[in-house]
Amino acid sequence: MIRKLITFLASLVLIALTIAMLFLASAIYDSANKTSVDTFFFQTNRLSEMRPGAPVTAAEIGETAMREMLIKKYVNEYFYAIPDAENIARRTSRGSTLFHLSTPNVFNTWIQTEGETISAMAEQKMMRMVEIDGEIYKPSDSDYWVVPYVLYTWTNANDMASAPVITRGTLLMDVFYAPGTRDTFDVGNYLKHGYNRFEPAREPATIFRFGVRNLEQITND
Amino acid sequence: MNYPDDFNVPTFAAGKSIAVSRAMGIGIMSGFLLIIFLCGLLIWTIRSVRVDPYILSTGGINDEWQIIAPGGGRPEVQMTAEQILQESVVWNFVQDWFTISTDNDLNENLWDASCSRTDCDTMDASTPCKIQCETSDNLFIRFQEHVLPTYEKIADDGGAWTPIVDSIRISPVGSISVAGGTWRVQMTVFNGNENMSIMAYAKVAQNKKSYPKTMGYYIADFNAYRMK
Repeated sequence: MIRKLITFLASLVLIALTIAMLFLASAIYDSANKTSVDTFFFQTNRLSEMRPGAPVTAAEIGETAMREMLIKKYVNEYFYAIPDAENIARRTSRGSTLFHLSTPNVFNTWIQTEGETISAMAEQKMMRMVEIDGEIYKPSDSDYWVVPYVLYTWTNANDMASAPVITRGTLLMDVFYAPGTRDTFDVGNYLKHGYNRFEPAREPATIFRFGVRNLEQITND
Repeated sequence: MNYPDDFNVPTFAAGKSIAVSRAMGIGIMSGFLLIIFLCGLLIWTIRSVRVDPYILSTGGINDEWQIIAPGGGRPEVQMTAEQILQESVVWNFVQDWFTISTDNDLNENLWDASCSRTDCDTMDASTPCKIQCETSDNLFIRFQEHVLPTYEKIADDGGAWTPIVDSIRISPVGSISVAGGTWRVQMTVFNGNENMSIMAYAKVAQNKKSYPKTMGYYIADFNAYRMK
């Protein structure tokens, strides 16, 4: 009888040990971050810039449209210029949106070309905006996406009689893209703390698995 | 055996200990099954942990991507007193900058350059030198050299510019701190014939000694462009 009682108590101890191990394992598992991010985008309402449409998920937008949105974002970051030295300093620094969306080679080349240009434009109080000028496509025999663009450059600030200078060109972009968000940094933590519009940190475009490996610029005129 | 008074006769001597062992076996097995079930529940619970969906906005000027808010909550815009004050300084300034009146006295009040910094501190809203008192010396010199001649010509020809107050949209560009920051302004100005759609960047800086009426905030740089 005593032997059986000992066996029973030993079993209880075994169960208790198993439960303890279970909680220990859970605690170790919990100590690592495991998050998933569902991204919602405003579907722009054509009627009013101030009246957003219904949010849609990244999955609903689809891979093709997402890639196009990211390419457009990249082209904007590449070219736009405003008369604000802090803006230019932030964009040309390591850690900028373009830095995260480019390979080091592409970013360094940009710094030496368009980076210099937008710095000079900001000093001269000029403004430049960019629009995608037609369809973004990839020829079947090429690794490069063809991105036609048009630049509007205002050369004279505070002159309401001056119209922008219009320049057209094409970017050839070797792009990598995969659905979902990057796992190389803590996206959840970044999203949680980065949405103060008065202190913008990293732009949310950088959380996606998108980057430019190679880039060539062709000016049409 | 004294049946039926006493029928509790062990038919098998080892029966009781076997029954105890069996009960213990079933108990222990149940315990382990419970543990396995809890393991499954734990894994399911952990895997279902996720961040609330976030709303991102895209597009707009220069295709800015912004995090609006965690999707679970209502978006909140929290502004400090300094940010509100800076926005207010920009709000008043752009209306003064883009006003050309048919009333010459009003134009004089706006464009007068005869005031000193101490004059600016003591005057009320109806007194002259409005633009001078809102801007840095450098910006006011740029205004006098590059903008004022055009404005005076328009005024001499009987023209007038009227800012459409409801159209003014002011938003921050980059970081806005206690010491100032850059603000983007979108607005429409009616020039007597048509509406001019304007985008401008105003840099606000702080100098408490020279601009005490606005807690030191003034427009250090201003660049406007006509969109259409």
